Amino acid sequence: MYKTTKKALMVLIALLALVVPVFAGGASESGDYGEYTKLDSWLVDEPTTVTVLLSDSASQPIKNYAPAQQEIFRLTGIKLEYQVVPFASYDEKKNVLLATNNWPDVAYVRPADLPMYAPTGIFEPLLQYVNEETMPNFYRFWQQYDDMKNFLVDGELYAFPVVARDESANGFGPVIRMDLLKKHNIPVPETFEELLDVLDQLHQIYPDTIPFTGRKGTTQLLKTCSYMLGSGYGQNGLYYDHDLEQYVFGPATEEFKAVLSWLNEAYERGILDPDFATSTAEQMESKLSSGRALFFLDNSGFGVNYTKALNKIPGYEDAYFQIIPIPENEFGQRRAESYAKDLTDRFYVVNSSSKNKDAVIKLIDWLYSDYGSDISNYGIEGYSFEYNENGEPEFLLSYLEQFRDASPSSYYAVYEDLGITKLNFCLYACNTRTWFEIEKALGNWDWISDEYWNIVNNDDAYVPPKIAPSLTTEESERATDILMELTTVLEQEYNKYIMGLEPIDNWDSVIAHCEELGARELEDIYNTALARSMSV
Amino acid sequence: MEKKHIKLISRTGNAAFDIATYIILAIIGFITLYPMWYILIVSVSNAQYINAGEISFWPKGINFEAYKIVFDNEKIWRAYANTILYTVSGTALQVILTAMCAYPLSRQDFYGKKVLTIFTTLTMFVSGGMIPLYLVIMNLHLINTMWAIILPPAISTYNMIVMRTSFQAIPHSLAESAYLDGANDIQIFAKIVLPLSKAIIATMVLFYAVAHWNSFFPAMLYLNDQDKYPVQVLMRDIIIAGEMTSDTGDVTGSLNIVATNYKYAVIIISLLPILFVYPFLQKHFTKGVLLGAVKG
Repeated sequence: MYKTTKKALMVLIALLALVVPVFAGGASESGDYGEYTKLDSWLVDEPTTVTVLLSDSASQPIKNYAPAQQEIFRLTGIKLEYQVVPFASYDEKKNVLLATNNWPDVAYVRPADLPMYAPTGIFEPLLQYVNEETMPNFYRFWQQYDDMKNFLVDGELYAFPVVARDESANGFGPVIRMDLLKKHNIPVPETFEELLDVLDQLHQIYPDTIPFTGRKGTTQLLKTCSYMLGSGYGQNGLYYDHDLEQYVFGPATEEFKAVLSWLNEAYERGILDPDFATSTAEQMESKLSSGRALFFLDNSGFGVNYTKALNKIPGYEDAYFQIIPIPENEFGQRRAESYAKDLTDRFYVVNSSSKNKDAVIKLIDWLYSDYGSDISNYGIEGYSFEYNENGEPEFLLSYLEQFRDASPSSYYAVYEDLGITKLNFCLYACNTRTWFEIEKALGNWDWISDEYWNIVNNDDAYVPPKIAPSLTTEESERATDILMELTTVLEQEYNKYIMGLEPIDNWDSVIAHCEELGARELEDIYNTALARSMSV
Repeated sequence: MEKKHIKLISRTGNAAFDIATYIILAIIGFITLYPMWYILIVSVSNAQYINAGEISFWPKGINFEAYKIVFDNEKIWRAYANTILYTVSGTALQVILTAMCAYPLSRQDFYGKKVLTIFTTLTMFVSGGMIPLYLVIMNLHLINTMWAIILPPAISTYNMIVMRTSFQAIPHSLAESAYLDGANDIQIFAKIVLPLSKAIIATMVLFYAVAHWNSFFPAMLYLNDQDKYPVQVLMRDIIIAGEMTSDTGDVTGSLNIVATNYKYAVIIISLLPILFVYPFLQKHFTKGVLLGAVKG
C-alpha cells in the first residue's frame, strides 16, 4: 500500500514538474510580426507595441497577428497586441481590470463605463488632441457630427467613438410570414389595427399557430413596440421622443395607454403568445423557425435566419418572413427608431498611464483616415482587396472563394480571417457595407434580403437613435435611484393591463404614482443634460 | 391465527412502504436524469425537429453533425486539454496541501491548534472580495499563469475541516507506537495516516476535481491568453451567445443562431469525463463523507 501511495506521489510530482516550466513565466503568445522594413508612412521611429483590450463573439473570434494587423504594422510601425475576452465575460473582466487599473494601452468600453470611470482619472482626457494638427482625421468627424458632444463627460472627452462607414441601419420592425399573406390574398396591413385583424385572420386559417410571439418577456415587448405605437420605452422606460424633441418617461404618459390597449387587444383576441411574459430568445427562435409562429416585432433582421431554417422543413420550401413598412398608429403617426447609423455605441478609451500615448493617438487618428479604414475593413491590398475605378476598395473574389460555405456565415469568416471591421479594433468601421459586398460577390444574396433592405431603406418612418447626453455624477446617481424605484413598481403592473386584469383607465393612477416617484424629475435631469451638451 | 394476521399486515405494510419508496426514488431519479438525457438526445437530433419542439424522450433525425463541428474546433480541444491540466495538477496540489494542513490540526498535542483552527475557520465567513484578491494575484505576478487558477483555492477550509475530523478518528495510539519505533511526524503522516485515509482522500479528490472542472470565473478573470482558457469559459460563451444577441445592431440583422444541438454537444463533451469519474470513486465517497461527519 505504501509503495502504491509513493508511486502515485511520484507521478503527481513528475506531472507538476512537467507543467511548471510551461506556465510559470506566463508564456507569450505564439506567432509574431517577423521581419520589417521601415517605410516613410511609419507613425513612429521604432516599432512600437500598442496593447488593446477587446471583446470577441462566438460568430467573429478575434485572433492576434491577423493580416490586417500585419498590414497596419507594415504601414505604421505599430504592432497591435490584442487581449481578447469572450463576449459573455467581457463586462466582468473589464470592470475588474479598470477597477484595479491594470489594463492595456487601449480598451473597448460601453457608454455606461464613461461616467463611471472617467472621474477616477484612469482614462486619458482627449480634448487636448482634438484639433486639426494632432488628429486631422478624427477632427473631420468631430466637426461633422454635432452629436459627438453628447459623449463629453463633465465637459471632457474620454473616449473615441467608432464611426460607421456606409451603414445600412435596420431596427425593430414588424415581420410577418409574407408567403401566407400572398397565398390567402391578404393585403399588407397599413395600420396597427389592421395588423391585428390580419393576424386574427391568419389565426383562423391556421388555428394551431401562435400568430405573434416575442422574446425576453414583457419588457422586451414594450421596448420593441412602444415607440411605434405612439409612446416609448427606451431601455427602461425613459426614451427620446423625436417628435417632441425631448426625453420622456414613457410609462408615465397618456400615450402609453395606447400601447397597453393594443397589446391587451392582441392578447384577448388570442393573437399574442400566451407565454409572452416568460418567452425566451430560444423559444421565439424555435417557434418562428418551425412554422409555429407567424409574426414578430423585434430586430427585423432575424427574419432572414428564420426563413432559412424554415425552408429546410418539408412543406415550407416557399415560406418566408418579410418586414412590412411601419404601420400607422392610432395617433396617425408612422414612426420607428433604427439602430445606430453613423455613431455607434462602441468606444475606445486610452489608458492615462500608458507609456505609448503618443503612438496610440497617432494610430487612432490613422485608423479614422480613409486609408486606415480601408486596411482595417478590407485587409491587404492585392491580397484580399483591390481599388476599383472609383477608388473604392473591393474584395477580391479569388480571396473570398475559400469562405463560400463557411460557418456561421461567409462574411463573418472573412472578418475573422482578416481581423477586420466593427467587431475588431476598427475606428471608421464597416459592418453592413462589407457584409452585403461579400454575400453578393459569393452569390449568397437572395431576393428576400434585397427586398428586405429595400423596404427598410425606403421606409421614412425610421429615425436614427438620439445619443444620450452624459450626466454629471450627481445627476447619474439620482437618475439611477429614481429609475430603480420606478422599475420595481412598474414591472408588476404591465402584465395586469396586457392580460386585461385591470381596466386601462386605472393606468391613470399608475401615472400619478410614477410622478410621485420622480418620473418628471428624471425627464428634467435628462433634458437639462441634453441642453447643456448642445450648448458646448 | 392472530399472529399470522399481524405478520401478514406487517408484510403488506412493508411491501407498500417499499413500493412507495421505489416510486418516490424513481420520480427523483427521473427528475435527475431526464435533463441529462434530454441534452444528450437533442445533441444528436436534427435541428428541424428541435425547433419544432418535437424532441421529448427520443432523438429524431439522428445525426452527429454537431459533434463533428465541435471536434473540428481546434479551440475547444485546446481548452479541453487546459481543463484537464488544471484539474489534474490543481487537484493534486489541493489534496496534498489540504492533508498537510489538516493533519497537524487533528493532533491533540499540536501547540496553538485552537488559535490556528479559529483563524482558518474565519476565512470561511470573511473574504477580501474580488478586487483585493485580483490585486494580490497581480502583485504576485500570477496573472496569466496557471498558478492563478490553482493556487488561490489550494485549501478549501470546509474540506480541510472534514479531513481533519477524519484524521482525528485514527487512534492516537498508532502514532505513539510509531514514535516508539523511531518514526518522526512526517513518516507517521505519510506511512500511517495517509494510507489509512484512502476514503477521505478519494472524497477530496472528487470534491476538488469537480470544482476545478466546473470553474470558469477565475480563468476568465486571471487569464489573458485565449490559448490558456479552460473549456468552461468557451462553453459559457457558446451557450450565452444566443441569449445575448445584440439589440443595438452590433451584428445587425444577423441573429447569431448558435444551434441548440451544437450547444448541447459541447455540454455533453465537457460533462462526460467528470461523469465517468463518479462511479469509480463512489464507494469511497460515501464512506469518506461519513468519516468526516462523525465529529464536528
